[in-house]
Amino acid sequence: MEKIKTPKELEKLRQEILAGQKKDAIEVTVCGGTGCLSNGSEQVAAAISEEMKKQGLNGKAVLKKTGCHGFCERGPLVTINPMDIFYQRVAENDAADIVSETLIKGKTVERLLYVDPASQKKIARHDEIPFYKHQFRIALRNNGRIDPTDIRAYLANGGYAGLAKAVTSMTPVEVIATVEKSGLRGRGGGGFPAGKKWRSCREAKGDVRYLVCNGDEGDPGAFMDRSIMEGDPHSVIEGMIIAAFAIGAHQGYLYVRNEYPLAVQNLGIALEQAREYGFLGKNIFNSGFDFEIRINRGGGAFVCGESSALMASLEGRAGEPRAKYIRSVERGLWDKPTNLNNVETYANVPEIIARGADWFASYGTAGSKGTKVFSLVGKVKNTGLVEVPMGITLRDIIFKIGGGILNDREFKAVQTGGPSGGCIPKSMIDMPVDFDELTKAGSMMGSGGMIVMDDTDCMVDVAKYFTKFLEEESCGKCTPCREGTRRMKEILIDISEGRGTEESIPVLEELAEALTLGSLCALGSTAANPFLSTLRYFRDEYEAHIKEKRCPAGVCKELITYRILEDVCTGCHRCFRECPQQAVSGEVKKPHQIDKDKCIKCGICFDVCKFNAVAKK
Amino acid sequence: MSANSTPSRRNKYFHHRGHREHRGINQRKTKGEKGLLFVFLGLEFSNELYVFSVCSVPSVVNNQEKNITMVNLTINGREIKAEKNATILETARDSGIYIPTLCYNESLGPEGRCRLCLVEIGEGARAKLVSSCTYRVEEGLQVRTTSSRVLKARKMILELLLASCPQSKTIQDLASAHVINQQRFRQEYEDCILCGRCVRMCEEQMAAKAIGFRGRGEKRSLGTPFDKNSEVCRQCGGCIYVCPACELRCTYTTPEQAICGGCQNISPPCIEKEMFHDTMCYMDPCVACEIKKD
Amino acid sequence: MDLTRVNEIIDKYHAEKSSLIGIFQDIQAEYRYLPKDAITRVVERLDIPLTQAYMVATFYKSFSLVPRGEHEIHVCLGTACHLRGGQRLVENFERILAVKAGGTTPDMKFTLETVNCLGACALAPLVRVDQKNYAKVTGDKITKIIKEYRPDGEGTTHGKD
Repeated sequence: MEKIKTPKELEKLRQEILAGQKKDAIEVTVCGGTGCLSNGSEQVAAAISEEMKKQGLNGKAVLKKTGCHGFCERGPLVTINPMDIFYQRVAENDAADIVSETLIKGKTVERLLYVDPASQKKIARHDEIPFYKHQFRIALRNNGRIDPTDIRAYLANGGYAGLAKAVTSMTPVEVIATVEKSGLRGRGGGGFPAGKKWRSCREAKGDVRYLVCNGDEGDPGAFMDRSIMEGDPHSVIEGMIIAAFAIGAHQGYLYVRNEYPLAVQNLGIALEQAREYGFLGKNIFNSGFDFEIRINRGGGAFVCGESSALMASLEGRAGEPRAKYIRSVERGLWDKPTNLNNVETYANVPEIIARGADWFASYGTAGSKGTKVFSLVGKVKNTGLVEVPMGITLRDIIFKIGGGILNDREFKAVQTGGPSGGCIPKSMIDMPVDFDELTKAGSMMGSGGMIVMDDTDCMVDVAKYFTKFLEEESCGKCTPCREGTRRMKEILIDISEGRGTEESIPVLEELAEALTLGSLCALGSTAANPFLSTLRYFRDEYEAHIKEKRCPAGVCKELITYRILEDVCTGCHRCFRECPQQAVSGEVKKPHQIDKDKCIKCGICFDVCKFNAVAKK
Repeated sequence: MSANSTPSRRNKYFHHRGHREHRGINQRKTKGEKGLLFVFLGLEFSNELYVFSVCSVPSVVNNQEKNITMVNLTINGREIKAEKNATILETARDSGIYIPTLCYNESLGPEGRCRLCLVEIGEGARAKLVSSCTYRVEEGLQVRTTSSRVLKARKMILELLLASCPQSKTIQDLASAHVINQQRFRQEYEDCILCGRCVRMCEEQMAAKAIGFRGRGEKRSLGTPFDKNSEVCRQCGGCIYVCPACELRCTYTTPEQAICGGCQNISPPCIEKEMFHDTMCYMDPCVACEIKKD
Repeated sequence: MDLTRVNEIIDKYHAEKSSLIGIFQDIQAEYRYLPKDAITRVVERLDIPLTQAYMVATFYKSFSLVPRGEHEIHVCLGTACHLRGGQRLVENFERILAVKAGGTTPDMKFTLETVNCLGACALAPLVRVDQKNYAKVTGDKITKIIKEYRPDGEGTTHGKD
């Protein structure tokens, strides 16, 4: 493979690839993201491939496995182009019909189409589905459209043109100026202006600089970076090379968490290919600029998402952060100036360079430009990945794109920003999503996790869950965080188990203040946010737990009892069979009862009852 | 005329810097000493000039030697001059301003672990708390060592430490000095406050690295790898010497497992009357004595 | 203990100090834990203090100093999974396998662990056994999953206290 050395050669190669793609061939893409893989998309793809051969379609149709399409709730997902037909919940035995009906006869298989819950109509075309219609994809531009293990697919879509432009026709300072003008803010949680960071790194004293990409994505409930790394690894790599050129770094590190094996694999393949084509290595595009990237896997520590802890981990030490009185852009990895950005930030960079800062800045709000990828999960009908322009309201995300609350229950709150963020209640649902607006409301943008909760979610339990998480993940270096999160966890457990007293909340508030003021790093100083924001908007729930020893949402185990609603129970006997404690009694076809003394509240009867006859209150 | 002597002419900042430079792993030690040597042997004339000028000219003096730059800052409203790379804590101590510490030790590199030395800097909305043992002074810095936020943080930290390690004399003294007379958490009886002084002592001063931290969060502890006798431990007793809680995780009740057994020779904390008040200790009965009795 | 594999792994990373975590991960994958002799060899060849290696081995969740079971069951406790009953799922697993989260069954067949988000939140609650993911798992499906790996059903406590 001859290395590509000029923009002209790149364009020529792109034209060649496009020409090589059969114009009238039908393309079948099967989602190969971790979500769909867990649901059997590998087998679906194999079955479709078999059927295509069996029904004699070789050459006329081509099967592609792509990265995450985003609509994880409905997986396995199959899209058929050029008709733009979208099939959801595809099973292995649907393969034959897909091939015979759609690929050969051009008709849709009705049972596999998406049904819009609002209109109850079937929608065949991908772009008309509300989930996709309201999205605007920059970082996810290639996800679901290309095979992530094939650089040629990335090139065909205009890949590496941004790099070519930056390295051959711009100076590093111009690149930084472009990124500054675009208003790109860090997508990992801090929201710090990316261009400004690059500028500080470039201007820092020293002759060796490093570039790091934070692929640790520790926030539970967030999988945006995973999808980008799995589904479009080249976008991250291209972004990193452009950034390295801008700041003058020659060695880069991609820190990927160990729990994402597919991401590590696809990134590894992509790096090899990038080297083959000359986009990585020596003298990139004949500019004299050298750059290499290495993948480092994380060891399993949420705190390593914090930049100084991440760098400690890269140096082969435990991930203990240090106080950032001297910033890492001046003294970072091995005490050298280091620029660290998130995966999604880098994924946006090639487009900003290729299409210009003004184009990017035309989307979003005044303070938050561009788009953001959110992982919309929890009690919402359409869970998955969405990318929307900043400024869209929470209501639009949850109801228009998300399709509303699961089982049409009451919307209660949405949690943003992961364990460092907070809950936003129903009263603020028309808030525009934007870095500063979210912070004002007591939460934060964070990495983009958006967890929707309904009236069956207990806010005390949510606060307890996040505090427990942070206590386990605390590195243990500084006293306020190590001891503070532990004691907060103890008190929250007491409250959720009915041992709360009138002292509980005041003590928690004092602990929260000490934690926020005294901690060494952002994990500690934001650790109190889940408690504080749930207390701010849902104080009545705390009081119910403390004063009445009651859990209004029916979640906290010690405060609820399981019972069977006599008028709903059909006597199907299922719970009787499944109960591990033999605590259910009743005759077939007659209402059943639960013996409270034997019941261990394992919840299995609740899980198996098809008639919603088990109540937890 | 060696750089290590402490002549009366020598500015107290010099002395202090020389003292601070005795860190095994700090490269600045070499630079600093060289610098001093240079000044001493060659430029006594300018040294005198320097001392004179510092006393009489209240402004930043820029010498050819860049390690003699001074900065102006205020601590609790008082204007103070400090060496450019000094930390707030050192500067405060030199000026007789009290800031409590636990993990800080003059001869060891500061880490900012215990967070007891927090002070407030900055103004208004940008005010924040920083650990004074690691924060270097800057021109125009405004430091407050007893603002209400600082006191709140300090009190809570001490209360938390008291909840885990009540029998440490050092913590009891600090707590009573800050008028903490309640402890609202479940009582535990650890004897290590995880300040890390022993680790730094072993690493920096003794270059042995026999003990270290392990685990994270609640499971954090301190000791020798695999909890076995260390092959690199030279039984110097340095770790015991610097331990503020006086009882160490790295020693055991059985002689075979103890690193050096030095703790067998230490008197119970209530007899070491260094920082002693009129009362025996603020908790009655003295917890350390109670435990020793079992 | 035969340290050939350990040496090979260290060679693969050119005995670089900064590759400590990568080296440990490969050793963990190979032996299902970090044997003391392996750690000692790594310390010798990388020329790092034993305390640093031990700190790294105990700090990160991927590493274990005691042998792990043949199959690792990871129950996801990410936020989405928690909201959809993840905690109850863990408790049910603990009850059925008679082992606490983080522990290994006496027959060394299973290690039960919780994990903080596998990134498939739309399929909550998620359980991963080795490389295979099980989506939307409820308490009644647990015995079936365990039977896949332990067909004779030894050592389960389903139906007993």
